[in-house]
Amino acid sequence: MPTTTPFRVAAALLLAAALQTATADERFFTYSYEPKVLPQGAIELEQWATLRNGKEHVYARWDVRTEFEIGLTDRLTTALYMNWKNEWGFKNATTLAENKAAFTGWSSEWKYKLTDPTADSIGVLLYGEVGVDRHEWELEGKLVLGKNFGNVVTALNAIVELEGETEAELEEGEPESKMELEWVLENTAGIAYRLNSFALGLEGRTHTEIVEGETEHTAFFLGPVINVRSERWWATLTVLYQLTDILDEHERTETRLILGIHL
Amino acid sequence: MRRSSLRAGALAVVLFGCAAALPRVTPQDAQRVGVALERLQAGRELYIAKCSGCHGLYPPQRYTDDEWAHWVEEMAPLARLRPVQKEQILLYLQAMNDGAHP
Repeated sequence: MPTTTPFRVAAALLLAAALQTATADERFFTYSYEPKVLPQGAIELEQWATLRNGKEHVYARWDVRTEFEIGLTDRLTTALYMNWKNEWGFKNATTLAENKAAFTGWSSEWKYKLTDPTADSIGVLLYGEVGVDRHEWELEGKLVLGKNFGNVVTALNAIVELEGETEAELEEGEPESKMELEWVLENTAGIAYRLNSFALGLEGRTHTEIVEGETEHTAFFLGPVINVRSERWWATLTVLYQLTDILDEHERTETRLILGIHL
Repeated sequence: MRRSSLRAGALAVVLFGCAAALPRVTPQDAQRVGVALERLQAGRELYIAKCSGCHGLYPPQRYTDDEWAHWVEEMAPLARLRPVQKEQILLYLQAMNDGAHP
């Protein structure tokens, strides 16, 4: 698929979004979801950008996602994502060895809210996501829990991912398609204190990869989160620092910014 | 160590269980404001369904009648509220904000 087409689509949609009247929304964390969905008929645009760096071999990577989300009912929301990445590998701190930019596929997200984090004893939401690219696919399920105590917002996500990758390899001179499967278990959690137009908090996540039934590794990340919002937009930034030292598989820091516009 | 973990767990349960939830409507509330109980309950459900997706739910006591009227009017187009839904949400918020005065 030519990479220019998704960029053009995204640019057109971003322009359309900018011309619309927008309003405030609140998302207090960038890795953890809260148990809430858009009201029926409401539409939201979110632009994600995640910078990962500090992996071995002086590595840096941008992941960019554009999301269009719509409330189908007052409990059910769906969203479509377009995903890109831009990856740099460095020979050393100043010499670039590799620079790859690519459209990395589409994702479809579904959220169903069971209970509310303010009105009920605990908020519960079920989350499912399917992602596809030419050679990869991903299924993701989350149990999203949350509770708001006045101005204190908390969220806890238990996540299971199944990733598949098809690789064409030469077997005794004959091309053969091989499927590799990988299970990923994640937990994310966040706590934030909201003030009039901004919120401050802490967010963390654990990431465990399982290949052929064996746990490969578990990485821990922790860092601050800040949210600012107005009547027309909101933005949330998290900087996560890896507390473990698994730098062959994970970056030292991950910085994620999400900008949301309610259309 | 084990005892402190248990204490922390118990505290979490108490906090979650006792956290101030959005006030529920009682027959006494309905009688006090002269509005049918079912309408006030429907207003509460709509407030949760239509407003919590974009922001946390503010307790009714936070604003006066006039302030709630202003906010509901301003938010109605953004939450895609029909006039009858707007009216029901406002009825609930104004019925349950008896602690708020200008």
